[in-house]
Amino acid sequence: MQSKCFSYLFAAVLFAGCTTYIPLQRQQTAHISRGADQAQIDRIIGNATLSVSHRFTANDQQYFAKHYDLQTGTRQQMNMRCNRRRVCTPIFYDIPIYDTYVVVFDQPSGTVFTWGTLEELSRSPDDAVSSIMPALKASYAQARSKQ
Amino acid sequence: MSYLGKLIISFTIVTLTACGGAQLYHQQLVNLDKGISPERAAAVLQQAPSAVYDTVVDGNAYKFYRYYLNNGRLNDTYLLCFEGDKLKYWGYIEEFRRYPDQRINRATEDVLVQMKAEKR
Repeated sequence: MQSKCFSYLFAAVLFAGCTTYIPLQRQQTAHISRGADQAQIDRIIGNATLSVSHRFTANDQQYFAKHYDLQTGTRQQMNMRCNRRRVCTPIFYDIPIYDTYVVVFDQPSGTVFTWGTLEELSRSPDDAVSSIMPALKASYAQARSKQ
Repeated sequence: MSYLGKLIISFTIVTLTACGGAQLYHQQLVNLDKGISPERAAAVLQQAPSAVYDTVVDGNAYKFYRYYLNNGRLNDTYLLCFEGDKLKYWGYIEEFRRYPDQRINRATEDVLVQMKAEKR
């Protein structure tokens, strides 16, 4: 009975671990559009885990940023499993790759100003977007250090 | 040395040769910001460019830094473009070609000609 209890407990811990962290997917970001409000974005992004949110000022304008981990792909890792006869078999694992994704809301209107990875937004041809990025990144680093 | 040992060493040498040379990783690109100087860009990336190209379009001077960006198994040419010694744009060649500024498009084509001439 005790071993059964441990099995259930182990399964519950594993399940809880899986449900607490959900990365953002490209299928979700495809629905984000300029001018959408926070409630609409929350519906689009759904259950993706928010990594950090923060307010910052750039070009005399206030913004609110919400960061997520976007799954951009997977990489394969190989481990060798060897038996007692020293016969080895390669075991392949798919490891997800993430990139920081941010949705920036204009304040006080609360509507989407811009969205994308930090790298995409930093080199945006639109100067109104790229010019807020140094302040956004500094504020993001500060918010993360407080976590 | 056993045959297997020699095979492993040969494989390692070939692999290291293929991966050799300076290369950038995606994580480094996050630190770039528009307007920074060429020196600052190299410092932020913690790497000097593999080549530097200069060109002039409509009286505007452009400097291009060439890097190689690691894309898993392959390295792709990755360019940084400075206008008046300020970082203007960075990306793959195809991204430069669709950049919404014709002067940048022309400057890119000129740099590509310089790159081709270098290979000959």
